[in-house]
Amino acid sequence: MAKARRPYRRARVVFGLFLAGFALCSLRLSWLQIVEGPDLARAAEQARVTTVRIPAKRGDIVDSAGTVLATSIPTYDIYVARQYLWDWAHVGYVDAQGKEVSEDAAVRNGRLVPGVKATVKGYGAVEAARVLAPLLKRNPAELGGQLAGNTGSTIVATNVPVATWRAIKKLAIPGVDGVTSYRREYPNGATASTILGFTARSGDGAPGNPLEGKAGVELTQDRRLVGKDGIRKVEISPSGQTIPGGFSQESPAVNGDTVTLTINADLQALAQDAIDEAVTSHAAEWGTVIALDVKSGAVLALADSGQHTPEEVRQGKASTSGSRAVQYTYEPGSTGKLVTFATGLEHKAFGPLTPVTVPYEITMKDNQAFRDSHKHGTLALTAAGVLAESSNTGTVQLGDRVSDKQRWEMMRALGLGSKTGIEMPGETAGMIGSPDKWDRRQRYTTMFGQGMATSPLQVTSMVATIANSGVKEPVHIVESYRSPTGAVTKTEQAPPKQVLDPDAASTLLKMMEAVTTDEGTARAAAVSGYHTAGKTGTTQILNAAGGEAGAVSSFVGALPAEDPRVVISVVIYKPTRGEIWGGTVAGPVFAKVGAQAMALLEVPPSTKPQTLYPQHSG
Amino acid sequence: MPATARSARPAAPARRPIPARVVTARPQPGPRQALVSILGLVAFVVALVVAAIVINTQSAVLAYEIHDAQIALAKARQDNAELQARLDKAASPAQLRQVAEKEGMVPAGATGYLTLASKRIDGGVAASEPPKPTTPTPAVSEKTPAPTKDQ
Repeated sequence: MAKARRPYRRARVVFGLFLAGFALCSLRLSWLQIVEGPDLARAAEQARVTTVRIPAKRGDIVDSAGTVLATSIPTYDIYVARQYLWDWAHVGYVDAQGKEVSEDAAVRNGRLVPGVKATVKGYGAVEAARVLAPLLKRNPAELGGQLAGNTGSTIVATNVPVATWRAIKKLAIPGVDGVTSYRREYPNGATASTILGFTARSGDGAPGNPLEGKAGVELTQDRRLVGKDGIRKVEISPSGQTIPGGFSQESPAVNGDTVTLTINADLQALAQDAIDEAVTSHAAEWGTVIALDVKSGAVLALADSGQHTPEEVRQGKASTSGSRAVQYTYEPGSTGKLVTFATGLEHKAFGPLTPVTVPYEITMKDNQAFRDSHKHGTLALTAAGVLAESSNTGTVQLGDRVSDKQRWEMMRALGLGSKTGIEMPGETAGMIGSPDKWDRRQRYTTMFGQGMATSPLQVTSMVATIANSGVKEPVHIVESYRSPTGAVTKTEQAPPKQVLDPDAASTLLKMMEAVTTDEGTARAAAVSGYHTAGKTGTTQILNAAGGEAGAVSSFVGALPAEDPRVVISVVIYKPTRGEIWGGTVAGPVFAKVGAQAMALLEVPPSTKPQTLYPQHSG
Repeated sequence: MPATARSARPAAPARRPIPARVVTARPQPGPRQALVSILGLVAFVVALVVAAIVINTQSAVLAYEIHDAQIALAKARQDNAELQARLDKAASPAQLRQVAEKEGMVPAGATGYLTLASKRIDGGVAASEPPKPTTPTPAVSEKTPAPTKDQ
């Protein structure tokens, strides 16, 4: 019997093959979609989506009145990718009169306007250098050399102003790109430059690296000033243009905090001018002026002579990148007598009216001889008179009434020998040896501020404590931080501490008032309209051989004496022209800065007549 | 059974004739009605497609506008930052001093104070002259001759 012929056999075979093919395709599709899908999608996204870093703006630094001392302004770093440049033709357009016209005027709807001709102005790196050089203020030949070649990319300029970048972008040179950056700007130039410090690119200093504080407040407050960079992911076309409506994801940058300082820019500028003038007129090496708010310990001005702009300091043009007022030490000289008097008054070893017989020369225990700065007969002075006259022979007699340990403890309590904690780098602690290490002479010299080393800031803080009824306020220069959202956070300071008996402090302050009167050594430091309490200091600098190597002239005082608001110290190192005395060299600077400080703080002048302790006994 | 009760019984319903069952075909839409439906459907699909195109186009237009606006905003921010920096520079004490001197101004002298009780003016230096020390420098040399020791 013949085998039955199955109908549609061929069709079934074809269908079967089709089914098998379909199954294979489905399998492959499933493999691609399910197994390899995520990786392929990621790869595709990477090809289309580019990630751009959004640099965070470094925070501003402002003074107590909001005057901007340091800010960051947007700039661009210009890169050139040579492979896009080497075959570039710079096309220009000229009209019928042969006059050059812009591309916008020459081309409409992608076609040349009738009468306008396209001409090639130049090719490749040479042409790019020709048009870029004037904008970047560079030599065309040098720039052309940098752009030559067809591989790699190069940075042709950094910190280019926005307007310049826009002009470059308009040229539409392929391969030329700008990356957003920030430039640190100091609008006040050299004002407060030793406080502010400077910044530089972090790491190897390459363009694009974020700015980093290298000195001053820029360094100590770096953590607050630095923001957090953001990231933007966008879909781009093959030509590199962002596709509007395409994939876009942005994590915005968080700018750094604004740091508010306690200083006043006007007072700071005046203090710098005053100390520069004094240093120049006395042919001194350097000088410093510090103004402290007595009630809070806030620095109102901290000026060093010969300040350069932060940019100049960064370039190494300044002799020091820090503040001498904070980092340098000197022998305080007669301003150090205040410690001896404070100790005596605190321990009631003597009072302001205690009589002292003051010869020109005196020999103390262990055959230690001392003399005063100026010849005089034997005087019958009170302790207040000894301070006003700044007598060494009188001071050592009074200092002998207290123990060395008591004086040393007072030095420490008033902040000598330890850092003040000001938010500036490189602060010195000074050198105050313990009494058991003082030799027979040093135990006397420390009574009048020699044989010890202090910073100008420590001495200013010491007098501020005396002027503040014996309460030591923490010295600080950073007032607060303001976040980008506007939230203000006050800086945390150590609590004030009573380190000197209030009566002893007010008595000592009263004794210091005579210093700026006709009875004292610093009439030039008196501020018109205000009672002034202060102390002069003139210290001889000895060289290694024990010879004289100049002097340090200083004055430190409080204004107004009846209720001090400000303490100002002036130190001038090695004056070589004219007088060297603290009262005559540093006193006028104090008067100038003091008058301005009183006006700025709107302190009313002293109205009550000044009463002084008798200077002479008997 | 009383006659009344018999009369109350309902009469038996009369037998009605069963109607003849007629089977008719469902009414078929005419060719004209089908055409209308198809045209309606086509119009609906076309409307959907057009709406999608319009929405997409509008979305693209808006995306371009947003893109342009973002660029304009970024430029404005950059300009603002630069202008602010210029303002800060122009307002700095050193710059103000230069400009003031250019305009013929001189630094202010020391402030003077009038005490009403004593009818006396303390301090004060005229601004028309170069600044002088607030207090005349004393003849310290009388008290402080050649430096020999600490003061």
